[in-house]
Amino acid sequence: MDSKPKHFIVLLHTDLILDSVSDGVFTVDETMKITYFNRAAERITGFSRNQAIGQYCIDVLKANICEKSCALRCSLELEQEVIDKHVTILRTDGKEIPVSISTSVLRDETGKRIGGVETFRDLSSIKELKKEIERTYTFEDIVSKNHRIQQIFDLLPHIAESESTVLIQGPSGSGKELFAHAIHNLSSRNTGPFIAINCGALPDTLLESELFGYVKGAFTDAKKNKPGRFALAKKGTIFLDEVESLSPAMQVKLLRVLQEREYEPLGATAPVKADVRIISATKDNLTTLVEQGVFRDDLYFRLNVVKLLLPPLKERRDDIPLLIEHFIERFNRKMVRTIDGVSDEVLGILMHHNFPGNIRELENIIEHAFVMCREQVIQIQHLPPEISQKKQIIKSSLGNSSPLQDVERVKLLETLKKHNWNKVETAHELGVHRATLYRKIEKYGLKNPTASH
Amino acid sequence: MKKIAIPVFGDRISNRLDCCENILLISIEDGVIKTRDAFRLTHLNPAVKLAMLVELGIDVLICNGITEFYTRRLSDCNVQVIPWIYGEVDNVLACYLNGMIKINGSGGINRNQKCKKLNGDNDS
Repeated sequence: MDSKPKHFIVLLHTDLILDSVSDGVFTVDETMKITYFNRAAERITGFSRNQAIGQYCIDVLKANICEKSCALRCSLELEQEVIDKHVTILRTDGKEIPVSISTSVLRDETGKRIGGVETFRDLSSIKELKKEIERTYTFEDIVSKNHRIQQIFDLLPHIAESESTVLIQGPSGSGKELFAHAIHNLSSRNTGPFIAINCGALPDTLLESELFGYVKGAFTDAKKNKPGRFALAKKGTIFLDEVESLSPAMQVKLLRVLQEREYEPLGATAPVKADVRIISATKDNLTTLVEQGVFRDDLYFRLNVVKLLLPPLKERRDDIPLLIEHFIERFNRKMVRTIDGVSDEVLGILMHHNFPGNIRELENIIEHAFVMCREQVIQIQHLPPEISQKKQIIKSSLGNSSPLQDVERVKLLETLKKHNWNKVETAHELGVHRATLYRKIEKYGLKNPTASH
Repeated sequence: MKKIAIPVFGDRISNRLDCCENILLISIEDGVIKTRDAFRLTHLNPAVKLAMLVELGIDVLICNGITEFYTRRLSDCNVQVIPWIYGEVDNVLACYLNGMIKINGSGGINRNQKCKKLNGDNDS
């Protein structure tokens, strides 16, 4: 016979229900301090119930609207519900989580107001897919600790602020479009469109009509006017990828746009003003192509007002662990999985792989592993065969170094390079004593290539 | 002279560095506050906000919520980041000056009565 009072059983039942739902639920009192925090709220925010209860909700939820237009406060002040408002919250590990929130007044059984209630739904998976489809990447999507990329980070706001034409040079898969997006999103044109076109993907005739558009009657099948990419990018940015593959004729046409800031759609009789910022990208060194007479020097100089050089992944190996973590997190969200990471052996293999396909290749390797892996940690057998077969070769060439040592070695080398092998500055940045630094340099056999012997 | 920046909202530490509109810049010499200035950071995109923080020449940033990206970038610029601190600014400053907020090996801080660390990983 259960001797518990009825209201206690009802409360227990309510707790069970609220802990079983997948949406986060919390309540606050009139002072905005948290009075209830369900299990999903713990999972989404990273705070335990004990930590959250009694705190101001602004310090726990950390939504981007807390300071300006708190939805819960709005509900309490106006006694109105807020439904399905999209905001972001900050998880305890520093990850920004997109959520949809709904708020309303909380009343007791007599109808008296006792605070507010908020529910929130994690939209990470949806936003991730949306981001992939719409390719709306920002500055914060660039994942790097590498000093060469850090230098670019420092330049990006200044580049974005200007209206200058930018040339991004980097090997295939090094993230050229991501940087172009970041520049666009940081610029004053960020409310305008970002239009990308791969110049190498289309034959000349098609490329011309794609870039500049055509007017009705320009050719047999031109039944109506069609705007080109330059028109679509009006007040925004146009990103011309693989600009090195432009034919000489197209180079002349593009040069005119850059010089005159106008273009003529096919069949048009009057030029159209080009109100766009041009960012181009190339995987080849355009200077060499100019020297070979394949690329026009005047066009090169027009494109190359500001140049960003993106290093291949093999030259920024210190970013590999960070990128692995980034992709695992992304695929976890996208595929609704909970993979924790990669094994030490896998990390070792990836740290020594040359990545001819750069970051895209690493992304593909992790995606392949996600498909194959049914465990919590990605193991060698989950890697693509051409990568996992390298295990033996790497083992024999490395002796007994562990993946952690590999990471340390790479980080050490990168920091030394960053400070031009200045040991004092390097030791300071790494937070180690100079003696420790010298010991590690010797341990890993690192040598300054520019030092005189 | 040490320069400390604290993102503020009213008299409390702002809940997120990336969303804060006001920064308090404090210079400290021999454990004494020498100057205390407020800066507006409205309508700044993350890159510009970061650049501005770095250009202010700060040595320490005491803040509540901070994204991984900001933490990484500021650390790369040799700014010591003390994150996940919440409470009233004056209390937090007093704690800092009294050595009650210290970076530990794992990047967290010691707790005390007036200002607290709140990032979910070391509930006491």
